[in-house]
Amino acid sequence: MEDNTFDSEVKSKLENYEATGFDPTALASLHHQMATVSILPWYRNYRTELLVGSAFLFTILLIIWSQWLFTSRSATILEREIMSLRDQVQEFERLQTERQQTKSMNPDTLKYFDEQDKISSDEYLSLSSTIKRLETALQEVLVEQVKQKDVVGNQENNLASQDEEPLNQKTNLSFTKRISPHSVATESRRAIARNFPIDPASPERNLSTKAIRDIKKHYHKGLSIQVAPVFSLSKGFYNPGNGRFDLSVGLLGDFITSPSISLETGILYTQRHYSISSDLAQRNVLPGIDESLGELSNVDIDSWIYEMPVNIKYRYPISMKANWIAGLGYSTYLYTKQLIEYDYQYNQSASLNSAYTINRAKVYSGTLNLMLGFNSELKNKKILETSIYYQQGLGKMGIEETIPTFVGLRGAYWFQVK
Amino acid sequence: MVIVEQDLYKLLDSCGKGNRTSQDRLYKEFYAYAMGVCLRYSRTREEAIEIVNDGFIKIFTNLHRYSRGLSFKGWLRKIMVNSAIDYFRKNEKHYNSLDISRGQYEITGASVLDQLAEEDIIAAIQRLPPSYRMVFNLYVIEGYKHEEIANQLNISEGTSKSNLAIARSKLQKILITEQADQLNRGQHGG
Repeated sequence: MEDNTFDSEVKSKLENYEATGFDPTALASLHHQMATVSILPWYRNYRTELLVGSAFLFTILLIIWSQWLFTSRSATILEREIMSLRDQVQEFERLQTERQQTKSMNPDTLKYFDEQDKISSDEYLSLSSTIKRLETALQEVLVEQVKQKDVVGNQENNLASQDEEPLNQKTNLSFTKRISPHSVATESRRAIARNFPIDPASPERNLSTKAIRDIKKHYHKGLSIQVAPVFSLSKGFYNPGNGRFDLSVGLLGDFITSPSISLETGILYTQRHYSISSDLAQRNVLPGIDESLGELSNVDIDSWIYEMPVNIKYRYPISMKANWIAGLGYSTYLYTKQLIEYDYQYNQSASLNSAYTINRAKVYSGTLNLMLGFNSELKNKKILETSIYYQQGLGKMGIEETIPTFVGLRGAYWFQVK
Repeated sequence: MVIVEQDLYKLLDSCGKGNRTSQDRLYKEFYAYAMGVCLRYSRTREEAIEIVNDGFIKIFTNLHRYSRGLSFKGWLRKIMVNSAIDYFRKNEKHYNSLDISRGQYEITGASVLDQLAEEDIIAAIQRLPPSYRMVFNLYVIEGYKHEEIANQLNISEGTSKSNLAIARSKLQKILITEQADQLNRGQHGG
């Protein structure tokens, strides 16, 4: 018999088979088992549904209550508004009635106004004609005086005739610009303003330093803060040894306490290099020298340095947008790494090299900083600052224990932060 | 005893509320059917009763999950089968009488199964090792696929197929032997 046939035969025989006879011990066993199992009450099966239903009911009640509250309040407000409108309508009706009554009355005050106008106008015209007459007389007298000067024949009058300009314009007489009361009355304020054009030359250029400072002081409020990326090119001078030009980059912050004084601080990174070849008297202080390789002829020292300056800057205003700058301060130096390369002369012709690296970070006492520079506000309101600086070492620095001096040129591009 | 649908629902409601009398009544009502299923999955009648009782406890605690309109018998059967699987998993480590003999026996005619009563076939299934019995029941009677059986019993599909083949072969051997015994008994008796 095939498997499928066998399977289907078995299935057909047993699928709906029911065991015969009930065993009461089975039920007793069930009771015993059920006694050990705590069956949850029926409502526990609907716990989630009950919770959701309760929450839903509560929400509905809350909405209904809030609606009722809102509606009742709205009704009160509406009632008040209706009452107010009714009052307004009544007032309007009262005013309309009054207007009708006033219209129907005889206008007995008009005559009075007419008389007033007429009297005023007559007096005004009389005064105006007197002023005009006097002005004409004055003008005639002045023109007569000018004519007498022409007879003398001075140089100015010759030039005046060549220009063919009206006399009153060239001589700049005050009466020529006199305006009659009528014309003043007719011109607007704007028209008057046109008679006094603003001088195109900026008055700011002619302001004194004190005035500029006062203006800046006036507009200065509290502490201003500027930040700037900084680039500097500097040369180190060492004793003994020769430095080279090294590039520094960093970020500075300027805390401006007043228009003249500010405190500048930040961090600059430099990789400095110098070599000692002439005077190697200090070689004893350098680590890693191996005399067996030959006679030491040159030492190259590379230092990875972080400089943290704190400078007080003084600004001397040249104009509203430019200042001379002088600075005085102090810098601390953090040496993170130093590489010392030794060149040894061997047998007069051959040379050998060895290197010694110091990866230990160390802080050195630093330098006294002096700075002179110039800054100018650009069109985009940023400030470009250029300065030359001098840094005098205050103590021995680096593994080589020299007192360096740095001279350099610095550029900063300041952004206003606060 | 045939119970009508409305009475069944009332009975189920009452059972759901924890009425012990109703639960007893439901138990008695479906005991025979549940035993018919569970006997195939067990070695002895006691084991079958244990599976049936486990199944009924599940029924009483999960009655709210039963969807009205669907066959209660079908739902009960599914629970009983699951109880049998759980029972097998629980006691799997104790089953150590694994028979790995793979002699091929083949029933050549339908007459053998026809001549045997359901109880005889169930007795023959009960004699199968537990893992073979489980696979045979699930595949042949319940219609599970090998993938489902493998998932349920934590075995591979290959093991399931292998177990089925062995179970089938062994069952055929047992049935042939049983039929031979019955014939002998008949001849001696006749």
